[in-house]
Amino acid sequence: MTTEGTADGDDDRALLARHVGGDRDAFGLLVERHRDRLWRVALRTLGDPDDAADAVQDALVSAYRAAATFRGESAVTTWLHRITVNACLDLARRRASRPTTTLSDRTDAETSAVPGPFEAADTAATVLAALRRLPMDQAAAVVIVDVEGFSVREAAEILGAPEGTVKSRCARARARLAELLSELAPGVSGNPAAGNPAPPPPVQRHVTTTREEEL
Amino acid sequence: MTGGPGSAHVALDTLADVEEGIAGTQVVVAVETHLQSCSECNERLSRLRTTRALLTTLPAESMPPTVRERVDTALAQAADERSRTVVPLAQRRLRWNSPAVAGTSAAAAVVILVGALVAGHVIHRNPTRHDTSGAAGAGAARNAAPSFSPAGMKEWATGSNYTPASIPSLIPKIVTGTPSSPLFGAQKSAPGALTGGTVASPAPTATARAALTQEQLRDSPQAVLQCATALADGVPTVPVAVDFAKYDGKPAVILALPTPAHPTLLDIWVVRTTCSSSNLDLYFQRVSRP
Repeated sequence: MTTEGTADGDDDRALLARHVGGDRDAFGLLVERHRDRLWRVALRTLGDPDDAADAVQDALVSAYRAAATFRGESAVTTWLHRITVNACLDLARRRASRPTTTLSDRTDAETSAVPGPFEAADTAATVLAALRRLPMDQAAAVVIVDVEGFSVREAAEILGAPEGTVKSRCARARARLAELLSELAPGVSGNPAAGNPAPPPPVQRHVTTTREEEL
Repeated sequence: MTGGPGSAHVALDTLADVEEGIAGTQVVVAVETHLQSCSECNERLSRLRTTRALLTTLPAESMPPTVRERVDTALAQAADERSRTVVPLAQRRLRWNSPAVAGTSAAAAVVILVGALVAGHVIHRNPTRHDTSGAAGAGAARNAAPSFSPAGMKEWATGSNYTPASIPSLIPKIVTGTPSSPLFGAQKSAPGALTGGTVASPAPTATARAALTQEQLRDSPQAVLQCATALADGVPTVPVAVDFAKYDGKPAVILALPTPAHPTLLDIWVVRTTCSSSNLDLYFQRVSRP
């Protein structure tokens, strides 16, 4: 998954260096190469297209302005993903801290938007709906590793957490998703509805950032 | 077993730990033994594996055109702001190396110097290892008395705890308030510190290129200016206010920078570890100027 040490990775670094040197087109070319993946990470971590658009825009503008601080210790794509994930976490915390949009309100809204067992016609939509009900740190970890295919080592860099923590978050996320999928779409997860008679309690979406834990 | 009190089955969390390879040896052995004779837990394991398979096969959607458009617009605006003030790196180097820099205004010398610092060039040059013009340029800059004024910068050490939620209410206090005592007072009478609202320090040495720590920022107004300039993408920038405080309960330096081309806004940067090691240590928020 990584582009580190590859021709693509080298191109990314060259584009970033050109941007820092004043080349007006370089950053746009860099964005063109990564925008779809960054968009998917934001959308799947946050679960809301408007929020994802805000986060990606914030992340790319931040990257544009702070490109001179990139020191080349990781691949450019890892750097961009980390900025994007941080923008997602910051945005989620801002949303949660608004008096008019409390965390519980947001959770309620999300819960009501999740399709029920008999409404889930599309597997992908159901999986995305289940992702929205995960705590943010677990959602980010499982999106980076399972959905986007980054290695645990790369994910640790992106999430700013030790590899063991990333593995643990992924394991928690998969277990919770398996539960949610059997609740939301029994046929999708290959589990009969009768096998899970008691629906799990609503999940409060936590917005604790990895950086808080690490600093 | 591991499915909770009174449960004979294996919890999904435990199965997920075993699958991920983070369960202890004893747990792994117990789970494997249990799976040999429990169809229900085998079904759970299957469900877990199916879940992971579903995650890996989600469709790879592209960024929608509407989002592309707004991102491109935002980046074009950032590019426009940058192009109004940034001196291209090649020009900076050319001007730096020219002995003529000694005859230019001191302010220009500092602008070039700071720009070079941000771009990570020039400062590592050792005059003994370079041509005469480079040495002359560096010497001229060191001897110049930089005179761009940070008089508008308010220096605080409030100790306030900033958060994304509290930034909009705390920033007006440091932007419109008046600090009770000068923060860099100990250095003001010494060379290299703020004097009468001007920076009179010698040009930074090679060590200045290293990531600026919070302590360095606290010790030197010039370090604050370098940090602000780095955050402003190389545009020499004097903060409206700086506060040595906290962010989410941890020590942090808060910088309120003018927003290029938007006099009604301020760019708030939070330096949580070092200023320039990586922007990943930074937090950014744009607020209305009080």
